[in-house]
Formats: sequence, structure tokens, C-alpha cells
Amino acid sequence: MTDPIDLPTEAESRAYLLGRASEAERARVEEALFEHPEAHHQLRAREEELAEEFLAGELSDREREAFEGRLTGDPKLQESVRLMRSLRAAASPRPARRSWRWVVFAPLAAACLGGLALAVLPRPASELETLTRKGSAEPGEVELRCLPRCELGARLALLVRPPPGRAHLAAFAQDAEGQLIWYEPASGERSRPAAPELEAWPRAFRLDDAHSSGPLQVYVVFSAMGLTRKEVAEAIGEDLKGTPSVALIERRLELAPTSGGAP
Amino acid sequence: MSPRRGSAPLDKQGLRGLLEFLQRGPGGGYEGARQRLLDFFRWRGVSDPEAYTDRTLDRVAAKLADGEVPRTEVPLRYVLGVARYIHLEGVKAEARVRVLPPRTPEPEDDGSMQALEACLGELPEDERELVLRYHQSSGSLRIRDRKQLAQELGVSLSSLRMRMFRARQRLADCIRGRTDGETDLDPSPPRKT
Repeated sequence: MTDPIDLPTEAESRAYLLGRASEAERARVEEALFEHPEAHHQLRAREEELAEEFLAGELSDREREAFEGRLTGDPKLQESVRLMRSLRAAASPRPARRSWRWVVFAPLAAACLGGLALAVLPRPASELETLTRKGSAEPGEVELRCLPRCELGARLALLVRPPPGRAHLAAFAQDAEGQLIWYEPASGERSRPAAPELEAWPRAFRLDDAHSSGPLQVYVVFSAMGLTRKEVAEAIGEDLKGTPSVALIERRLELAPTSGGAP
Repeated sequence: MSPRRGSAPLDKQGLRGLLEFLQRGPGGGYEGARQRLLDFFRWRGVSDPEAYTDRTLDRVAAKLADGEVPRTEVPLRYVLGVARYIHLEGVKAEARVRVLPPRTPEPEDDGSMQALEACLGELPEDERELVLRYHQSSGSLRIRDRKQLAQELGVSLSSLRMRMFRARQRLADCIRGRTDGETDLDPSPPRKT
């Protein structure tokens, strides 16, 4: 029989997986990988734990740089990072955010599926403000302009500057009754990028009869990639679980009834 | 680099010889060797671990077919030796032809959350709760909470880690299956809802 080979220590495994092991350490870990019955799975498990620490911001600067260097060309590691991120989000105990998920995500999902009647839901605005800021270190800018004024039948223009790395814009509104009204993207299409500087979004939205007078919450979602409506809803669902992948900005309008004389 | 470049394709006899050789020792036979090789080359940072893995197994098979008798009783030790040699060859070749790594996808370009939730839903309730509880804490609480969880289950922390690793593997397989339009987690026929 052969000489028994020890399992690598945690420190050896970390150094190896981050590409920072000495030649001798690397040789030893590789021998264990091929000869110890448990070493392979143990190394894989430790790699996932590194992914977990990476996501939690717990790696030292040098470790993070080494990890990011590996992440670039390693689809399997990218998959591990995605899985750990999703698991952390699924496991995170955030009742307040879950209620928010219900407030925004459920109507969004229903709207994506063609649902019409939506319940009136409480709207803790201060929590959404927190969420808006959490979505990105720099959430971008959104200003609303009603043309010519904020009333039914008018047009709504957006003046936007996306946050760095999240140029694609989606927009929708929710009225006082919880009804969702989509502006961007069009059904079946993906959101498109906005110009990097503060500029008017090329399309203004008609405040048509899908709207009703009263308060209107307008949401603008910036993402790294073009998203369909369904994907926007999913991304917001993740945001609300504490793993922001989009920057969500909320603005409020008060819509007046159509002024006299206007058709 | 395409798979099996630089090696003659395996014939039936070569493949049989390779399979028999890998069955002689522990390590899961052919599939065990292949999985280890894939990770070995991945952790060595090569551009195409699958191609390197195929070349290694082809080379081992060719050597065996040529009558080479490995001096070690442990087949995987022999495979590791060949893999190191193939890596050296590859490093020289890649130095001549610079291979640019693929662009890192945006970490938020994900879309797997829904699939994960569905896959979690297919786990037995106890297992699902365990997986969620294990991944709940972060920072300094994580180790403490996991130790406590291991104590409650009456297992060591390392056993718990491995159990969670296997659970994540199943979830990853299930998510992959779902994104490909099928699920691997539950072998039973789909339930109608």
C-alpha cells in the first residue's frame, strides 16, 4: 500500500485556491487532491466558502484581488459565486424587506403575468428610500417632468443619469390602488441604456387612461444589462432580499384630473 | 485549444485499458479521475480545463497501450504525474499563442434566483431549513452559528460543511437543469400543481 496522505490544512487550501501557495505547498495539495479520498470535495467546499467570504466582503485586499483574478476566467467559480449569492439572499431573514417584496414584487409579478386587480398595499416610503440607496453606492439621478403639467392626458418625461455600470433603464408606476403601469421596456423587449450624463430619456410617456388622478409612485430601475419586464421584477425581488443587483429610484407625482377644455 | 488536440483519439482497446487501470485504485474510477483533473487544471488557471483533461486521459491511455507499466500502485498518482507534464506542455504552447480570458460576466447578471427557489422547494423540508439556516449568518456570527447548528445535529463542523457542500452541488445541478429546461434534483416525475 502507499503512504497515507494528510488532508490539506485550511490555510494550505486557501493559499492553493487563491493561487498563492508555494511550490511545495501546491505539490502537497495536489497530491492530496488525487490521492486522499476526501480532499477533492473538501477543496471544492473550501472554494465555495471563499466565494461566500468574497460576497460578504470578508477577504483581505490581497485575497480579494487574487480571488477576482481567478474569477475572471473561471466559469465554474462564477457559478459558485452566483449560487452562494442566491443562497445568501434566499436565507437572509429580513421581514421588513420581505413585506416590501410583497408590496412591489408581487404586483410586478402579477402584472408580468397579465394580472389586473391588485390589492391596495401599505407603502413604507422610508424603507424604500433605504433600499434605493442600498441598490448602488451611487444610485443615479431621476427627475420627473410633466408636459405641460401633471394631469391626466399630459406627458411624463424623465430626466435621468444612470449610476456607473448600470446604464439600462426600466420604468413603471404604481397608482394609489396598487395598479401597475409599465413605461419601459415595451412588453417582450429589453430595457435600453440611457446616456451617461443627465439627459432627457428619448421617449415621454402619455399619462393616459390607464392612470387615475391622485398620487402616482414612479419607479426607475437601472441595471447593468437589458432586462425584460419579468427580469426587472426578479431583480427587484433580489434587491429586496438584500442582494442588490439594480439601482431602484422612486419618485412621487400628484396627478390632477384633466383640466377643462382639453380633450 | 480544442479537446484531444495533439493526441490520437482513444480507440476501444485504449479506452478499456484506461478504465481498467483507473478502477484498480480508490478515487471513483474514470469519472473520479476526470473530475479531479478538471479541477486540477482549473485551479492551475489554464484556459480550457476540459481540453487539458482529455489530453491527459488520452496520454495515460496511450502510454498504457504502449505497454508502459506505472511504477506506482496508485493509479491517480500516475495520472497526476501525466497531468503535470501536460500542463507544462500547455503552458509553453499558451505562451506562444496568448489566450485572452473571457470577460467576467457582471455578477448581477444572474437570473437564477427563481430557479434556486424552485430547487429549494424540491428539497425535503428539513433539508431546506437546514440549508437556509446554514447560509443565514455572515461575519463573526457565521462560525458561531454553524458550530451551534452542528452541535444541534450531533455532527462535527466539518461533517456539516461537507453535507452543505453536497446540498449545494445538488442545488447547482438542479438550477443548471432548470435553466436548460429540466431539473435533476428530483428524479420522480413532475408533480402537477
